[in-house]
Amino acid sequence: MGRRRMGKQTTSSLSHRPSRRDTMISAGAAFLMTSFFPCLAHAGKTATQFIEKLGEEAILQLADPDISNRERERRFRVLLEENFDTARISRFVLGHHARNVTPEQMSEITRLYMEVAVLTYAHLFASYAGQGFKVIREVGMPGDRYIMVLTEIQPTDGKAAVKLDWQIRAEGDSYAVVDIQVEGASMAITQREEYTAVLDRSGGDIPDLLAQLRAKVENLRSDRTD
Amino acid sequence: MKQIFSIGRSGILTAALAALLLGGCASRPSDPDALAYYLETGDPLEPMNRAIFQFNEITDKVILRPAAIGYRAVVPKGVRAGIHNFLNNMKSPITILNALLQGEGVRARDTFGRFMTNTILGLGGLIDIASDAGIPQHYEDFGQTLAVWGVEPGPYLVLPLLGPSNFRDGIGAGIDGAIDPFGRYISNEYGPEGAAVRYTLNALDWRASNLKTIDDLRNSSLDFYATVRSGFRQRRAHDIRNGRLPDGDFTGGPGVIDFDNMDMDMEPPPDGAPENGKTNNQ
Repeated sequence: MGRRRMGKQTTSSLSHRPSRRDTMISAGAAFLMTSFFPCLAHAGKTATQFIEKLGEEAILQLADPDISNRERERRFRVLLEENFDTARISRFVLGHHARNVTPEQMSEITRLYMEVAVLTYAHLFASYAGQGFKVIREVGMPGDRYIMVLTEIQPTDGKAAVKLDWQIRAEGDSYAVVDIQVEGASMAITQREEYTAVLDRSGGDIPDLLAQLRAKVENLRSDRTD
Repeated sequence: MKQIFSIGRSGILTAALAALLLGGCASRPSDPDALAYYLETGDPLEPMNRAIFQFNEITDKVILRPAAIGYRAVVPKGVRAGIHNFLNNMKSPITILNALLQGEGVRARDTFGRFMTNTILGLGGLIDIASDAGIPQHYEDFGQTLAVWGVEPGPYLVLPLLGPSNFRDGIGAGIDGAIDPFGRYISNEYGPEGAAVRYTLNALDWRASNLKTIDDLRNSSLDFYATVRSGFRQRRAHDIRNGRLPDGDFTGGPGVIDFDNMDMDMEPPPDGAPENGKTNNQ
């Protein structure tokens, strides 16, 4: 339905430290964008630049070998809050049960849901070994509310690259991630299926879901190392 | 999961049949929302599937996972890589055949090139020279071929020891097992023990290379059964489309999900039917 490629190719790969080269490539990409797509010129930055910056920030802040896992989690939490539409995501994963949730319950579900993600994924960055992260292209039309940014993580050991597709929500000039698709599997859809299974079984018992989420967070906390 | 799935031998048909006879059905819900979810997950045999899933989980925790940890600890990395390459190379004939049946000439050619390169120059498949030479690797199976031909997946099925599948892919795996030249050779030369060794090595290799991923998924999930079912269904649809959507735009996920109309059916139809690439119309 009128969705076409923007035909933009950027190959900025992230190095361990933020290099001048990356900045130059981003600047070059921005120049290309504005010259070939003048209709986008009003936007302060593109969704591609948003994801490149997020990738750079994540590696810079989280891959630091000298910080504790607690500090890594704290930084991960900040990155999530700043760059992800957490309220929208948690509403989505509740599926048809979302309409029976009070605002207070919703904000606690959001908090716990994000905490599970923090405790599961933050420590992965501790073993970062210089994998390349590059944007393949961006799919979307100017003015679209949702833009897909297709990226690849290239492992250092010669294994096949892992495809990550980021679904970005654009609100004027600001962007927020709403979903990540890992090799074709959407995290939002997978987690909605998980939450719906739990809620269907309990007859939509939200306090029960909250209790399970709290227990999950406790478990993950007690398992992890500082 | 994909690799576990592709291990399937002819016994898989018997397992599917036995599962059917033993199985109970989940009742079809009357509430419209719950019904939409019931149809989306394609899992009318859920009670039976959950029971088999529990069995597989216990088998994994007691046998496969500890064995995979031991395998990593005892067998040197280079040897494990050799075994991995060798097992993968043996899957080539099935991929070539199914790529051809799907009209995927490039994939058949790539895989044939890989197979010849790795078998002749890579010491019978122990060294993956083809990847170093930049020949891409593909996996095709008869379940994917049936899907390309328009066969619906049918109900989701968890198979004992083999893991997530569905009716179509279970039958596909049985057929792959029957036509696999290496499978026939191993059975003829070494009998069922030979087939069992290959199956076990495949399982070990797969489990050992996914230790952390599976642990993380399992630990973070509120309902691991639902997580695996969803992941399997989406991943399968992605593999059937070979990472493409009909409009060629996305690398193969469900496309743009509508996060604004939460009550809409947001799940793409199975296997990437043409109406799949849901776009966002404002």
